[in-house]
Amino acid sequence: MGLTEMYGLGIAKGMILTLKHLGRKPFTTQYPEERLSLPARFRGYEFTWYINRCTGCATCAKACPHGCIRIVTAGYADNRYIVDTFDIETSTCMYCGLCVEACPFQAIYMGSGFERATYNVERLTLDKEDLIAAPKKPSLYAQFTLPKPREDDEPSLAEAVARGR
Amino acid sequence: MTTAISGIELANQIKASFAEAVLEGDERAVILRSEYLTQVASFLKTTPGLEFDYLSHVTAVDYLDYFEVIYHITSLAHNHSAVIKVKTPDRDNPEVPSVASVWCGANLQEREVYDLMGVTFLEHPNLKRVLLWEGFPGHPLRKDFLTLEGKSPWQTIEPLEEGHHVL
Amino acid sequence: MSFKTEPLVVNFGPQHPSTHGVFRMIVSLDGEVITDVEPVMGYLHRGVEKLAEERTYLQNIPFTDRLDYLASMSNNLAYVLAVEKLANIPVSPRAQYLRVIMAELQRIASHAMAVGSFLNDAGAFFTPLMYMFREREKVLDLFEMTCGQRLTYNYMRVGGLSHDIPPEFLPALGKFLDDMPGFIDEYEQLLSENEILLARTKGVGILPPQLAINASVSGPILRGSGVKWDLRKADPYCVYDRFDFDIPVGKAGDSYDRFWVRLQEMRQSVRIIQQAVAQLPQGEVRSQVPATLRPQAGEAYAHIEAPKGELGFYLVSDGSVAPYRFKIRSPSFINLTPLREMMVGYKVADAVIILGSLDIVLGEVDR
Ligand code: SF4
Ligand code: SF4
Repeated sequence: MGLTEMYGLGIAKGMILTLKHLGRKPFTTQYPEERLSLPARFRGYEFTWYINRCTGCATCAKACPHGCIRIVTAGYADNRYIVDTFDIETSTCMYCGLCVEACPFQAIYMGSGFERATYNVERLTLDKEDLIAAPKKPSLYAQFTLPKPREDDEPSLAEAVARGR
Repeated sequence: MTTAISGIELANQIKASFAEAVLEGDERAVILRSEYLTQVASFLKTTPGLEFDYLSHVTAVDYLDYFEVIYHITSLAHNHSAVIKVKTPDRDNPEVPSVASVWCGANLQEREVYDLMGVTFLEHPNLKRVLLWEGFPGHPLRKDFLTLEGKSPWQTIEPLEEGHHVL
Repeated sequence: MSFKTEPLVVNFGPQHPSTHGVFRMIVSLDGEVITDVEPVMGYLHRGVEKLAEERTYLQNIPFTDRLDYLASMSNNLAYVLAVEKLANIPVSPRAQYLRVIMAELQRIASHAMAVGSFLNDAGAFFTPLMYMFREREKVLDLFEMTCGQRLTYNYMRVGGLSHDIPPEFLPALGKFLDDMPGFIDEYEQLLSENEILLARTKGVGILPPQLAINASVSGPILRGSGVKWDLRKADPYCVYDRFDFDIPVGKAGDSYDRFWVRLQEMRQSVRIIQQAVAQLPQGEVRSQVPATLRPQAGEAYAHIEAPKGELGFYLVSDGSVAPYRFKIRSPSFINLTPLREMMVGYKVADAVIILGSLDIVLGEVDR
């Protein structure tokens, strides 16, 4: 047993360090009042889906490892399918982003939210109406090239592109 | 860089001591007759120049007609590695001798293979299921394992008298 | 004086704070002395190996995140290396360097967690864990800005990475690298000389090197027993052969040495990242890979030195879009092999410390 071990010097040294921390600024934030700014690529809840861009090709549904996207189309017009049903079952979704990566028309984006706890699991399924009505805060995850602006684009997409990554 | 010893070279060395043991040896692996597995394993572990003292991993693959048990072995002293394989004669009664007496690291891994693939390791010290519970019907990693006959997995647990389920 | 004692069987877990998840040990005691230990696992078994047989090579990457959820980057890396080996896919130099940077950042984060929760088990309730969380948090911030998530990154891709790093990554990383050695000094000051910690961990749970090798343990546990075996040196993958770093090894093979090895490895990781940042080339990060990959029939085994030990993926392909067999060589699971030998003869209070020093993650033990 060394000298330090006998006299408890090791503990004293540790205590000095602990005391030093009293003078430091806290590095925590008080969550509901204070919010951290999220990075542009944050993969969050509320998928942002632009019906004007979506052609109903279902590439996203095929790319999903869990099969949580369900697409039913009704008819074909104007070089695209008319999307009848577009359900995302976010209760089984793992936010991997593979659907976003797969979409060839840049019609679906991850969202930027994380506060969507509900008491009922069925409410976690986002259907077409939910997706259209949702507040659109597209994350720029998996946008290897930023989408080219189009006339029928919604303003939120233009904002996201302007924000860049 | 770990040098991978080719199966052909290793097969020749094994053949010098156990003429019967080798079924075939190709670039990647040596395929052994399962009766000789334990003897060859201790030969590989103790022979100077080979000294495979570290069993990296044990697994099995279901090839529909038979199972193949695969051992990745490494020598820490010489920094070389090799792959040995054993084929079970058929699918209905797959039995392979255990190498847990040579490398005790095989203990849990062979239990896992037994649990998920249903290959029995003869003379294993403690051959029980490890990830699933006793009484689970079938071995899920087999290619013919599809469903639990319409039951959810939880319905396959049959409570014992004392109210304990699993060990 | 000797007391008359009775054998007693105690169940540790499955819901016990010291088991770091749902893991159960059936501990037989004679008085306070452990006479037998039987680990019981599988409470978190999700059948990843079976699930993976029905999904494409790309779709399996998010599943690997969920094995060792404290080191998702390493899991991603080991898996994509196995697929690249199977299908002979080249990786650009920039992606190789970024992979090394990510894997080493992940090692720092995972070891911080391991050290913190080990001290928690030793009775230093939560203060050291919070110190460690502070540093881990910075690593998670770096990961979040790169790939958008803090825990399940899904960042590596077959043939490279999903994204290049954002422009703000390197400055933030540089700041982290400047600060980190100071923090490790702090931990050492706080902990390595602490008499209580020394008394609780020195000479506890000794794993002799012969047994360690024979029982196939790997990672800091093997090195804590004094065996100098690190796949980054022994079998360099990515570009690890271009960096200069040391392999810390313990002497006694006790719980303290395993803890000490982890602390030192964090230092070495900082060194590796500094060199990698200095050498980081420009260029593409993802090579051209068909969207649905169909490797020719064959098999491949790739292994890396993950924070917990040798993490390997053994893939068998039959030429279709999904692997025919997907086997995970998970270090946490195999590191439990010598648990009985390590615990028998020690006091029941040491069981928690010994298990804590093994640093298992149940997502990986049970898969
Ligand atoms: S994020 Fe992943 S799991 Fe969720 S819908 Fe998209 S592909 Fe499926
Ligand atoms: S891949 Fe894109 S365009 Fe095709 S259905 Fe999905 S969201 Fe619409």
